[in-house]
Amino acid sequence: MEMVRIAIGTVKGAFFAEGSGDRWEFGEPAFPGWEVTAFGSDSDGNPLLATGSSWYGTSIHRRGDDGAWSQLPEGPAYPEGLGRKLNQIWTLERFGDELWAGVDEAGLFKSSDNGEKWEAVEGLNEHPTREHWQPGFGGLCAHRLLSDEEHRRMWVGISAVGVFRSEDGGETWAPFNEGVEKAAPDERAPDIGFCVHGLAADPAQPDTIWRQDHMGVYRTADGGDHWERIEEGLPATFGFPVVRDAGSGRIFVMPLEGGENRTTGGRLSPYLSTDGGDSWQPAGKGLPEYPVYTGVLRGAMVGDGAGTIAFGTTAGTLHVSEDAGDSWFNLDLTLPRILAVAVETA
Amino acid sequence: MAHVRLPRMLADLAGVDRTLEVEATNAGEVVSALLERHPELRVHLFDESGWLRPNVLLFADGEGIRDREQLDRPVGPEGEVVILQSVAGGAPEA
Repeated sequence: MEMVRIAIGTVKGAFFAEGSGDRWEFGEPAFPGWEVTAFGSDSDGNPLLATGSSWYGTSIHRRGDDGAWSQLPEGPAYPEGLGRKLNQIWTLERFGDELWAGVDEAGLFKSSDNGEKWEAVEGLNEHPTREHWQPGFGGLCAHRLLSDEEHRRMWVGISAVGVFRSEDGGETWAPFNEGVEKAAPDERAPDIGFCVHGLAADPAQPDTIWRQDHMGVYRTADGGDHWERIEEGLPATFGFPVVRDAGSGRIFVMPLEGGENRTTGGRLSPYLSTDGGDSWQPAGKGLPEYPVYTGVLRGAMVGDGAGTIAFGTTAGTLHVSEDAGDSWFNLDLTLPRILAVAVETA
Repeated sequence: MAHVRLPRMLADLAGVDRTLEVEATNAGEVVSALLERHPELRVHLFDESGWLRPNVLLFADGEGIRDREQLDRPVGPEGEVVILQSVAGGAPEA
């Protein structure tokens, strides 16, 4: 089996694992005391991560060739006097030579110089509907970002506002949520109020997008013009992440019972779909057989696109499949609450 | 020389010892000298209001500084500005 590298962001620092199957080695933790909320890479392929702190705010850090992390000189920031706070950075994406960040309070920032300077994406951040944007319990945050670079189309998920689409590379945006059940109805703003949690795309068919919402699981085949429920076989329709493995075409979600409880029936199991979301089944063997009552957050389940799927729980456990969900290994470690996971196959 | 003492999280982030020496005669100059040497710390001390983050505490020679006007408080030749994070958890060295 190929070597898998996993980065794990928790409420108390970053942790790193490398290995395969049931053999894993753990690297030195980094950023003790900091919330590590997102991973990415810069235009040169250097790893990036975002940190946050109830005391000290947010920043982005880059790992150099020597393995040391250094803070980017000027990360995303709202200007003084705007009355808006940058509480967390929930996603870091690289589209071509541009770096993008999705943040709480909800907004997007982008950098065209490999992270040296960041500019606000005004077309989204100052959208005419903004005065009606409502937070979810997890905050008012722009947390998932997709791009169809060939057609300059982009999608962003904002809780509890909905999915916005851009047709011009991020200059202008409009909400596209028809067919999705609302979580925060407000008659003054009928196009928003949707609590999207996760988005996943098929790069070969960029108009096909899967969506995990607070209120259900959905799919669009037309870039978001219309959404349909796809929940056959799921034990619960609430959850946070949705992941697509490009190699197998499988889609993964983690059904949760909601705020009252987490894993369904005390069973820790992602569900996968082999038919594009038409139906779902428990994903494979090897996950804990004992009762587990925990959750998996928005950024805590990821894939490398080639069969490796990894997810971390709010109880600090980490679980990996290297065969697109047929079998799973439970890593021998317990970490703080896991917020974000990144995976690559060496 | 005045001294400025950093909380562990910020000292680790900047890759420096927790206590630094700076040329300064009041609290504001101490903070300015610190940020001139380590500009990456600005975002961690100050928020979008332009003032200290709500859970960051500043003391000059043992007295708390609550607003900008108090930044002109003199710091003795061997004085110390201490930056603390508001108390949480159980760490003996915040």
